Amino acid sequence: MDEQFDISKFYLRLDTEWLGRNLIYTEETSSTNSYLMDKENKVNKHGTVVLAEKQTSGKGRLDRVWYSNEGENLTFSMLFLKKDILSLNPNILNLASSLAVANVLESLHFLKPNVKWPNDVLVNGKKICGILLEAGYAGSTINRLVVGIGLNVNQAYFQGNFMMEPTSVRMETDTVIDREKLLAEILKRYEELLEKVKYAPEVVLKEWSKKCRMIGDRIEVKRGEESLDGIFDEIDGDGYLILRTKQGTERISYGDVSVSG
Amino acid sequence: MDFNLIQKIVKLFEKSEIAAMELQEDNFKIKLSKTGKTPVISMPSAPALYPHAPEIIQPALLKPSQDTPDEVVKEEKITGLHEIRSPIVGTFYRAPAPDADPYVKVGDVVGSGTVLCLIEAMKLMNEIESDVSGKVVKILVDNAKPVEYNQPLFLIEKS
Repeated sequence: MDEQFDISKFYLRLDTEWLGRNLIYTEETSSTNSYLMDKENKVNKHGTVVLAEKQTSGKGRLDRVWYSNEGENLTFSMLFLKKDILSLNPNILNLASSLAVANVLESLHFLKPNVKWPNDVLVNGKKICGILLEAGYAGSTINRLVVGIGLNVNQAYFQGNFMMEPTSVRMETDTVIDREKLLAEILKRYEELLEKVKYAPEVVLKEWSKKCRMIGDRIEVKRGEESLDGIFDEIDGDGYLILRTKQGTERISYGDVSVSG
Repeated sequence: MDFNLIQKIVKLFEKSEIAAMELQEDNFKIKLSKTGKTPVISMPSAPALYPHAPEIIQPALLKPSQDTPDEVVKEEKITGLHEIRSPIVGTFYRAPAPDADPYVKVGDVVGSGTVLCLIEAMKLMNEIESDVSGKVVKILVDNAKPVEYNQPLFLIEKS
């Protein structure tokens, strides 16, 4: 384990209005998303951020797991409870989440990240960040949104089999990264992007598209047993992937996307 | 509402001087009315006299005379079942992971806040909780199938 996360240093760096003003720091939890989704934990402050040095079962899509070395990276989740955020198009929020991380990696560490639909962040074709959103509904009324971000920061190497080759900020920059500053920057950028999603979602979609190298490529979309082949035309106004197949145009709402061939 | 109770209400109503009544409890509604022993059946008059609103006679009222007073028992929404609908477009999952047990099965008693299913859209996992307490009577969608906005997913018998 590298240096422990310094909470007071983080607060000194934090320049947000509300996001992350309530930070819950924990050495270990099952998953930061689960922590905030679980109402038993009674976290009811909008904008709360939970940061864990170690997740015993960090989550990905369905049964997928997010692996991260203890104390080296940033695995955190943000809680949204207010209507102005809950009423936003969740698909656009999803894209905005990867865009926020990509923008910070670019401005703070001079990397050239790109985004992969729906919300991975890649650097040099390797995965540096994974994002998982979870929402809670009572019947059909949304009452809780949790955005979980796993960003590989200071991990120097990865062992094991991964769906996509991983990398970290340290591996890409050859420097040990100030995690407190990086988290504070991401939260700042995220707060700004939330305003953009509110007032100019089309700008968010445009910025996201600019960072997505797959648009225009022949791709494969795998979902369960099914696999679709076609050209990634664009993302539409709702954030869906528009796939041009031989049979026609498909509007994709989920699946694993990869470049064909 | 219990059937015996309905019968009792109808009997009491028959004996009473009340011409019409309406009773509602939760989603159950019952309307009773007496049209009188000698129903006055008015036939539509010449169209010229009532050009705008010719009276429409309900077929039920035109039935041959009955021994007992006419009773129109109208049951609206007899089922009293609560529908849980999909708040989004996505894929419906009955369990948190492919090899995990389903959140709920038919016959399970759920409370307000019990997670019923997961709907995935664009790596956004939506946990749908019941907004009522009751028993799961029917699950209307198969696991891993796409669902549309507002599509009914579960029928819950409210307790």
